Amino acid sequence: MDNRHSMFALFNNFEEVREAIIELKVMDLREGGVEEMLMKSPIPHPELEEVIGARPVYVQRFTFVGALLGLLAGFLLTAALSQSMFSVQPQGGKPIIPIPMDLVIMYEGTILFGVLFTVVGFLIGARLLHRTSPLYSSKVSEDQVGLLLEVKASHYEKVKELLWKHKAQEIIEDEN
Amino acid sequence: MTIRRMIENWTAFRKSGQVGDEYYDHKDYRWGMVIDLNSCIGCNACVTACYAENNLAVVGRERFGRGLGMHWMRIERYWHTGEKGEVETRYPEQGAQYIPMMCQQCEHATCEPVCPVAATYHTPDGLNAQVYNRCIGSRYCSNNCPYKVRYFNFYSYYKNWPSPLEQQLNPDISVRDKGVMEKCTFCVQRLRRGKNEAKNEERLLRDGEVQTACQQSCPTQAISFGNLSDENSKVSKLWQKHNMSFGHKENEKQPKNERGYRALEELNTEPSVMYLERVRDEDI
Amino acid sequence: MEEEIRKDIKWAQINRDVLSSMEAPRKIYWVLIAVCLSLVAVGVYAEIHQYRTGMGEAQLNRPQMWGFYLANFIFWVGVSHAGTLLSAALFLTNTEWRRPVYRSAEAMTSVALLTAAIFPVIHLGRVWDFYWVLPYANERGLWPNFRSPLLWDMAAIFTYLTSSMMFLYYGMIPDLAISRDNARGWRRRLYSWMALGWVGSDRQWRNFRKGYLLLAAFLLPLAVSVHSIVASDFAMSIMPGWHVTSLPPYFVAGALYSGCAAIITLFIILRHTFRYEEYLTLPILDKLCKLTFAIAMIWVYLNLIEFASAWYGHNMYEKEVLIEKATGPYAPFWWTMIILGFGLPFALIIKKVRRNLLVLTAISMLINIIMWLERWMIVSPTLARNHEPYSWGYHWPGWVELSITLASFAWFTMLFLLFVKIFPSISMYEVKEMLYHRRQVSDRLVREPPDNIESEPA
Repeated sequence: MDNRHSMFALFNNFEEVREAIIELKVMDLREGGVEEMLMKSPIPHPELEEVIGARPVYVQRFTFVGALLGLLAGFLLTAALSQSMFSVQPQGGKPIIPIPMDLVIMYEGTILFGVLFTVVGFLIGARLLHRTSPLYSSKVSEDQVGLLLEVKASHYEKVKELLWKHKAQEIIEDEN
Repeated sequence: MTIRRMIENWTAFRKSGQVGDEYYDHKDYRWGMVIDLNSCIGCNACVTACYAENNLAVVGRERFGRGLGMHWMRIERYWHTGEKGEVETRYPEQGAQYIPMMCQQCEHATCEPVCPVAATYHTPDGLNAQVYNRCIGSRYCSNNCPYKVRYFNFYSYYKNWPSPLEQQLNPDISVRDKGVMEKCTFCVQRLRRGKNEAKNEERLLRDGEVQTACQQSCPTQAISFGNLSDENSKVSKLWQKHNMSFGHKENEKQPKNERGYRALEELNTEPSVMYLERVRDEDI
Repeated sequence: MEEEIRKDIKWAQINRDVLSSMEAPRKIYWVLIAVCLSLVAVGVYAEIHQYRTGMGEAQLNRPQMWGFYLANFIFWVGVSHAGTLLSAALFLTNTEWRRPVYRSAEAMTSVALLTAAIFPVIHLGRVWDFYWVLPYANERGLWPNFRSPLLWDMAAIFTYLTSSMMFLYYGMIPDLAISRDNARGWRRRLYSWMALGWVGSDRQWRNFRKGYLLLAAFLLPLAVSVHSIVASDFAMSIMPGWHVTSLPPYFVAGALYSGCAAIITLFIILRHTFRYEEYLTLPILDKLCKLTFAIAMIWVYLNLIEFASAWYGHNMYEKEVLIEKATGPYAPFWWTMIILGFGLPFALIIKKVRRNLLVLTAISMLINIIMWLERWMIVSPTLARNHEPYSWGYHWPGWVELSITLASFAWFTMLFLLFVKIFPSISMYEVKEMLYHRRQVSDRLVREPPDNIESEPA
């Protein structure tokens, strides 16, 4: 099993990263060697994400489930707990389970649970609570774009040359 | 356990019988009142009796002027106006009209659904109940009452009663602290005692057996109170005579010589109190 | 347009500028905090006095059972709406100029909601039992009454507070990462914890964008529904002047109006205090003023339609309330509200006014005072003159209500001051995005000019 090396390269702008990624992908297709690629940037860049490859996003499923749960929770809260239990006696000529009034709470419940589940979905999908690689530079949050690569030891030097060719400003390495 | 309780509640509710739009069939009791404004002389005896019976707080002149009065039963005075809206001054004593106003125990009470903690609800007897213990004082019920017959304890009035006034308090009813809403209950403490005694004797209450404090003290017997479910009671007969019923609409034709009406009926609150209009010289 | 953000500004400069806002504050900051704290203390003292003596200290009576507390509640919930409008609604329409402004607007939303949440509690007669409105299991099997609009209020405000704080926090995560990278000491610990390991990887950005879109899509109907529910406190009752179908949209329009004015005030103050001239530019302020004007016109229309409805139908009670508002003891306040509320927005369409920051600050603060008056004019005149002539009465505030109102403004200011010193008040990554998109657009124009423009020979 080849040793895996991680390296983190910093670039000045998105165009250079794009070229680097394309060449790396081509090299990977021909010879393999690049195990995983992650781009770290100060702002999102949808076009480059397409070049890197598809990474499906599942946040909306969480949202949908959350919204449905919220709708149900709203209804149960009002109709099942309070009104059906007759702890609130009949009032004002309104029916025991007044649907129009329950609708308001159901609406709010939908939104509340939808929002909460979306945030949870984001945390899970973005793997925010995972332990991330220690290879990081604060310049990524400033103005430079980083490329985190995991390469096999055999292709180590080749990848490095490629990166320098595409005007990488800095390469941080980590032997593991 | 909760599911069992839910099922029990629903079964009991269905058994109690829903009649049309209403929750209860009011088989046994349905309290109603008739106030004859022709007999009312505005003497305020009913007001005083209500104060005595229900432990109402006397707030003092200054606070009453500010609008903090706690008079569950109040006599409202209005001046009769002529055709052009001028105040009738020829016979001023004939111009004033008195209307004793207290909680109308509305069937479709507007105050009931708006309480955030459900401190007010409708009883099977047709009364609007106020639960002092549950009230947190949001005062929405009073804002929604078109008759403004709900009174809020803005201060702890009981703290200021000079001794020995507290000796006259009625032990059958609580004394309310600040922050709690209260209103006329048709002397529910008397009704409860009467109903319990009647139940012990395995019968229903007879007409006139329980009197509200206001009815009891009225010198002209202007106030009649009784069980509308009992066809032979005085109030039942009066309601029938004046063509009044729950669900009666104001614009429905009624015989011209009948005087019965309900206050602010067009708001569809279905009050349980019928007023008999005062007969004036010009009308005869 | 002049005074736009420089196209070639270094992104590192953006970081530096915004992060410098969180450095150790000058003396004036501590003075302001001290003043706010003392005003809040006065309010707390007033509340304790009222708690122990009774609600009569608020000069309430029968029929005036709701006074300033409800007016304050509606006002603060209203102020909070404009932040969501700016943030969520303008995000969904891809409006670029929202980017520098929305962070402080959203902060204003959360802080205003934290202020508003106090009032449903302190206006109760038995404040110590306030938790009975919360649905919790107890041995008596008692639940709150969900038929009541006050309960819907509670649900809506809770949902809105939670959602807008989540939204604020969510949008702030990349900025917290920037702050974490440049901070030391307790700040670094705080930001590391709050940034949750954000590194800006493309996986994170993809999920982030999707989640942000979904949150914005949820928050927009929430904002509209929350103030409609607050309005249904009034609209669901039968009181004349309250039982109006146009009350929910009227409240929402008024909320957006006063909130936008508050955003203008905060915009100018932040711009001056932190020297954000590069980011909170005058063209953005321009657009904000135009937006405020447009919303004000909606509010004006809804007012007029309410008067017209009262006049058109022969509902004697509605007419009485309207006449009471215009000619009764509340008339000076009502007319001030109408004249200034209708007239001040027209000042905002004059270009010279829009460029004069001092005048704009004054106008926006005045608009907020007017809108506060408007809330009071909704609550009190209807209660003053309703169905029963024997129960007509007026409400004038006492020192307790005035102290608590003032304390709420101080509390709002204090919370906002705390926010701007702890968290970045401009969204750095969104400004970078804005610049990047602009450069892309202009680059593309240079590379492939449209056909009708002559390009220089290469």
